[in-house]
Amino acid sequence: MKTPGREAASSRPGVVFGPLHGVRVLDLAGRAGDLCGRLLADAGADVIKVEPPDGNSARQRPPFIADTPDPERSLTFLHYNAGKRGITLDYSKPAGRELLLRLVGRADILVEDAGEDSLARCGIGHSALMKASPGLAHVSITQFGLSGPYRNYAANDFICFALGGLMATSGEPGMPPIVAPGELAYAVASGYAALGGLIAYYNCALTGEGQLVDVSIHEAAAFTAGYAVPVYTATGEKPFRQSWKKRLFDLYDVYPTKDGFIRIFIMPKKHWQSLLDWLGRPPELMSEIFNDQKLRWQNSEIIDPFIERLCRGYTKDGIFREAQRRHIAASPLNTPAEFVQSDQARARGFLTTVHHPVAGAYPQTNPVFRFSASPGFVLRRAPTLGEHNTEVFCGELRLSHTELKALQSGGIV
Amino acid sequence: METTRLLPPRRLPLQDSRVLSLTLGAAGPMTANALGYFGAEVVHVESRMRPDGHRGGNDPNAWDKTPFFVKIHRNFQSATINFNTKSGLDLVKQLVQVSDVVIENFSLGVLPRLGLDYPNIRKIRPDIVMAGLRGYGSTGPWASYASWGPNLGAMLGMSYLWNYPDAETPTAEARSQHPDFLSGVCGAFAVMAALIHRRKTGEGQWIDLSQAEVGSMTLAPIFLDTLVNHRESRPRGNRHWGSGLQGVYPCAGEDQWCAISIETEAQWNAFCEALGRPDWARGVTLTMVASSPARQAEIERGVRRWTQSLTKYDVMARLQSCKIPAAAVQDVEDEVKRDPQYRSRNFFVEMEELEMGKVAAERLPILLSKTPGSFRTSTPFFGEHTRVVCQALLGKDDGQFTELQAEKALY
Repeated sequence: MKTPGREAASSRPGVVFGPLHGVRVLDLAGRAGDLCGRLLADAGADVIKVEPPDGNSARQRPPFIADTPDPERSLTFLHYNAGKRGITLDYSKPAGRELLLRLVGRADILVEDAGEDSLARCGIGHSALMKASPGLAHVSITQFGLSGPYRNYAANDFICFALGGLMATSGEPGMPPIVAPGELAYAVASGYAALGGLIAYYNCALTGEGQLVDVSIHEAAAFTAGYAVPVYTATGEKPFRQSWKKRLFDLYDVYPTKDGFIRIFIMPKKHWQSLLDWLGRPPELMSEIFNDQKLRWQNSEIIDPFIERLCRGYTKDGIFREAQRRHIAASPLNTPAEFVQSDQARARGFLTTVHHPVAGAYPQTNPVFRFSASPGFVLRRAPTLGEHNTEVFCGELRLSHTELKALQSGGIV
Repeated sequence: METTRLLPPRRLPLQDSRVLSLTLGAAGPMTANALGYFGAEVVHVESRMRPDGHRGGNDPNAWDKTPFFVKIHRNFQSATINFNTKSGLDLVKQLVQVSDVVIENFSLGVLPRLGLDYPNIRKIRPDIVMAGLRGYGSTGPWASYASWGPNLGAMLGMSYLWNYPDAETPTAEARSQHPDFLSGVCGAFAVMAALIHRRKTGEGQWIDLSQAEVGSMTLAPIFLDTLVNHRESRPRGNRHWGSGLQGVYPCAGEDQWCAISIETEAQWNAFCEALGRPDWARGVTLTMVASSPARQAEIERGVRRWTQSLTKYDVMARLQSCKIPAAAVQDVEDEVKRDPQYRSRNFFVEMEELEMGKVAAERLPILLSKTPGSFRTSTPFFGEHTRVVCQALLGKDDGQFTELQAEKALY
């Protein structure tokens, strides 16, 4: 079940324009930064993915459709590159560099995750890019940012997450700390990269000036770690790893139900009062002090057994519905596929089916933003390798077909 | 556009924009915070009638002493306005008139009841950009459902996957607010996209953001694997997604760890050299190690023997000198006091905060070369700017102000 607008528009992509319609983006990024271009595409920008002739390394990332490793079947690549057009170009060679700079001259935003040294080696360092396009928003997403003693260190999402503070509080005491799923540091870095790109684009509209947006994944990892830094610097308190069974000072535990687990998280007083009604207002819990969140946390060993008994009487879906009926923030502990197949995800048209010439039909997430001025805006599927070479090089850069053929046989395109 | 400003003008991209924040919690304020960082004036409406858990909840004595609140409320102007009075509601409507952006995360149904939903707001200010951030979005059967960040983490499969392979416990996740932090930046991005659209067309709009969808987006390769390949998703702990060798290993000292991630054959060879075990790589590729659990377990035992004799920073320095991705697992004290990279880039910004003295918090994880953004003011006391908002922005005189206070419209 999809929202009607999306259904109608999906057969004719391009009919509805997002708010960034007309904003031109060149996306040179691999997995560390490809969500940035995806977010720009989700808001309607024209994003051209520039890949080396043998394909972006993200095409090698599992999982693959039908478990067949193939550059056109990586679900990771297909997801993070939906909504983009795709060209191939070897810009380490002079002829390729010249074409890239011509594309840069037409672009508003350029996104890369290679870093200054590696781009400068190809002759497309920051100053060369700004010369080609003085108003450019040059978004550089790197592991440690472009300055500082770690700037040349080797890292990835896992390594940055280890440095960022949240890993140290993940996992069971006595066991090794563990990383968050979903490459969270990459995701948050890409979010801020996309925001920074738009700030720079907006500023250029006011002043005519382009600039460099230096995004650090290492900083993004710490930024997403919550409130540990202000709490520590104000009070000296440090968060630590705790067993889920022995959480000491919070009441957002997960509780077993008949067929799975449920998380119940009580914050405001009115939610607590609603929970008390549900529990039948037991005398042990009727003290005024329990209206206070902090005092509830400190007394969780008194409160927890009541909630636990309540939960055991329901299925995880049953208690979720009943809790929500009572305006209590409860949610089942799901697998990722359970949420995307839920009534809610279906009603909002979270997924749509796209057709790919090599990979066949597969589900794709719709744009994550709903803008009222562009209802039903949908994305094209991720490009096959070099799919838009002719469209971009001949149609937009005005190369002849003969010139394109020569570039292709020269290994440039 | 209203030109009165509460702060002296500076050259920042959003310096001519005013954001009205009708939010609490994390994702909503963080959206306003990111816009404020780049120059927008943020008027944050609070009320004793709607206490913010991040400020300290029901206890008024905690409101100016909660370090939590600092991270996402710098640059804010706090005005206490009580929506439950007619005069309070009128004040909010007057604020809408002089604002460019409204951000809200009320429970569904509250704003329509107050006449502050988008159809009504746009009558007051036709080109307004309004963003609603809700757990499950503003449409669909769950639109009114209550949720906090940790609820969404459970709902999305984040909590389930954040665990060890073959774990017996339901989750081993950190206490985190995900996906609040990703939703906050996505909210700010969407508002910027709408402001760009408005600059070109003069048209405002309404943005509906589902935090669940934002968070779920990062797990797409995993649920697509289930939908397409019919494979159940399972927690992977620290295991590498592809054919790499990746793990967290104990170091010298109590509860000290290092993270190592070997992804290429070149790194694999360099790693064996660095550990003085070139024999491991003899005739054995990284791919072969990754595909044989027995061989992997044996190598990991050897790695642990090596790391246990070193500090986590020694491991990091030695392996980084051979270009191998490795790091100390840092806690917050390490981040603030030890990490030379954060320090060199001035990532933690210390300010005098509320009644707490000096408190550090992260700046945004981006540096813009021409318009770097800034914290211009520290976190506001509860209601610190009520008077200046009423008088300088809305033109109320002393008499009117006192009257509004007396009828608890400013409360």
